[in-house]
Amino acid sequence: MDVQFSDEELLLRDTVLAVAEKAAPESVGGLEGFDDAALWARLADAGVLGLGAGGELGSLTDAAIATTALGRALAPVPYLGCAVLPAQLLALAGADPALLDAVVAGRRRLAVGIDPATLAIGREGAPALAWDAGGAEAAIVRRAGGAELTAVDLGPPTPGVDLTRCTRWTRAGAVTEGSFGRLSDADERRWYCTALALASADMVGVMEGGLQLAVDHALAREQFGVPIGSFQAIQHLLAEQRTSLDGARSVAVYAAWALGHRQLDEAALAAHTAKAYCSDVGKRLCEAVVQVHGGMGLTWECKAHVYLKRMLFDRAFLGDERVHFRRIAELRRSEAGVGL
Amino acid sequence: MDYDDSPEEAAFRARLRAWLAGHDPGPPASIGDSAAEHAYRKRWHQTLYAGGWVGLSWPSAYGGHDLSPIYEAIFNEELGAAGVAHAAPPVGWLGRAILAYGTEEQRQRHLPGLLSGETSWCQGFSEPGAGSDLASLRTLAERDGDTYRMNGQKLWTSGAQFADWCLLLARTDRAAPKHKGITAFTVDMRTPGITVRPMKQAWGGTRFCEVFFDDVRVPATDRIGDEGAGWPLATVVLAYERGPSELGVIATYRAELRSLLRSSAGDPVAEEALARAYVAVEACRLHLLESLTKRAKGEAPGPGSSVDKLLMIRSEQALGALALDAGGTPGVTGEDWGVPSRYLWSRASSVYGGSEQIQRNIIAQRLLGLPRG
Repeated sequence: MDVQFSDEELLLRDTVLAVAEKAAPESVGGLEGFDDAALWARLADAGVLGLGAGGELGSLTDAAIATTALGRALAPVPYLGCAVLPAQLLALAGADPALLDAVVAGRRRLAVGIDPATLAIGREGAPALAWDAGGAEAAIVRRAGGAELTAVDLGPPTPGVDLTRCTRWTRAGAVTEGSFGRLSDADERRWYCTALALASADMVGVMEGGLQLAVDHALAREQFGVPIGSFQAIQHLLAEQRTSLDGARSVAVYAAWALGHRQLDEAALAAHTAKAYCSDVGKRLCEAVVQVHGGMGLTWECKAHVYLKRMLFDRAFLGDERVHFRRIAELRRSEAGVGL
Repeated sequence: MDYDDSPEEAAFRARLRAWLAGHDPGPPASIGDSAAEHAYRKRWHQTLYAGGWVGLSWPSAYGGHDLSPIYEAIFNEELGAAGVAHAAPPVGWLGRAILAYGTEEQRQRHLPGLLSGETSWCQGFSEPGAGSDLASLRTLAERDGDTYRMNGQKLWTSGAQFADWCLLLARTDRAAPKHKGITAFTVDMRTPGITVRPMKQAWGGTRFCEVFFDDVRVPATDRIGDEGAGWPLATVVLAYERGPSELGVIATYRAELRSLLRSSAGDPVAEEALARAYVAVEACRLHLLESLTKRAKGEAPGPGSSVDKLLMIRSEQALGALALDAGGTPGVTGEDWGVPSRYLWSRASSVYGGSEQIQRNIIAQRLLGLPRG
């Protein structure tokens, strides 16, 4: 047992964070109409777009580390939605290797369509929502009535809440060419759990960045002649958030690791745990970030709402904490003893 | 990141599992009966020691096994999996102070008995006027030839009525700044002049005591460390108390979660609340494993242990509240006294070992870098 990041893992974190912080716009205004092409190319060069998709591409723990770094920097780039998660799906489905290569190299952007009612992978012919699908040429869905995957056209971005990533609806009928492979139910469950673990990793990053913003503000902002961070009311609010952040880090990284090292039932419990915990405490942390900023926190110029909104996006993706607490209850009832 | 056992760790786990199959402490005593509880814990401690499972990460020179602290985590996991509540004997934090600050003679004298469970210890830190502001303690130790003369009062001293020894903080220099005038001692609880008065708690037990010192003579050879060096020692003790040593309680939490799961089957509201508690316990467990890894690599406990403590409080109080809810009316009518006891004890977790509010101060000022008010 060695529950800390290795030197290689720390280097990966620092590398991705440096790339993201350099490329991401400094002001909220810069997010509007942001062109992610240069950032996308740098991430492709760094070799992180296919992390976790098997072979020598790196582990899911690595993918979680990179995801957290991007979340922390509020990177406006569809890293999960158009790189890591479709790559994972194509690898599990045994898709044409050339297709997987193109995704991993960043040459093709594909998203994954999700059925909003069942949270399963969508089906051709029914409306599905592609999350984090900025710049995607198509969304992967199942063919009607089978295990086979295909891809369908996407509509324009919805006017979504997240200023750094977008959702898009699939368009009925239009089918993109290519062999996308076949997905078993067990592999769909594995993909779903991977998405939960990595969405949790993004939330951890958002929490890290948001908390730092609040701490910086509490040190700089003076009232009654002293920094507001010297008041216990502020200190205790932020100390609670730091505690939540540390817990969130721990459950998120374990969930990613478990997918590569534990039976699927146990890994699934860890994935639901991470998604439930991070969604629950992450939203509250971002609310605290807004609160510490006072009236400023709800102005467009202050980044506090950007963290909160990215959190809301991640939280809603594949179900919020209410969904996952229920799933945990079901899992533990049916398989009492798993993970305990 | 690696949560898997090394081959040596796996072999240890298998050996422990086999041993546990043949040893069972039986159902725990009620926390309303502190004498029975103490006897139960002491018996189990000695059974574990005889099996070679106590002091895993302690030097063999004092009865330990020279293993990494990781083995303490495996120990706790396996006891939890076997459904053993109150798993680990709490030998950790007091012993660490003696190990770090005691002379070789003091270590040899005290540590083997502490590890084996032959001697029982208590911790004489808090006082009526020194709770969260521990450094303002006033129990006085005046040097008089080869002895110190102690006068004062301690409060919240857990298990003092059963203790053979006390690790005591007392003031040796009234003129020095409050943090600098404190010194640590080991005090034989049979010394004349010591009066122990157990205090009845809200849950009916008498786990905590008042301890009075009236002209108690303590040999100077029982001083731990130099005069005035007591505060750093206290900080070490408290940080150990808050940190991965809490892993012991995870075993208890898991057993409770399983038991509550059985009793709530089919009630969706209860099951969801239970899922929330399960998630809180997981966050606590996984974070403790990280803290433990740091400990295994030689990092001394620091302000991060306050995060461990707050995560523990969240789990503890979630479980206490669930036990209360699951207990329903019999928990209020007194027909099942275990229910309110469990709940009330959970309320103590945000007070003992440094209150929740003190932990937040530590996190805000020492981890987040916010200024002292």
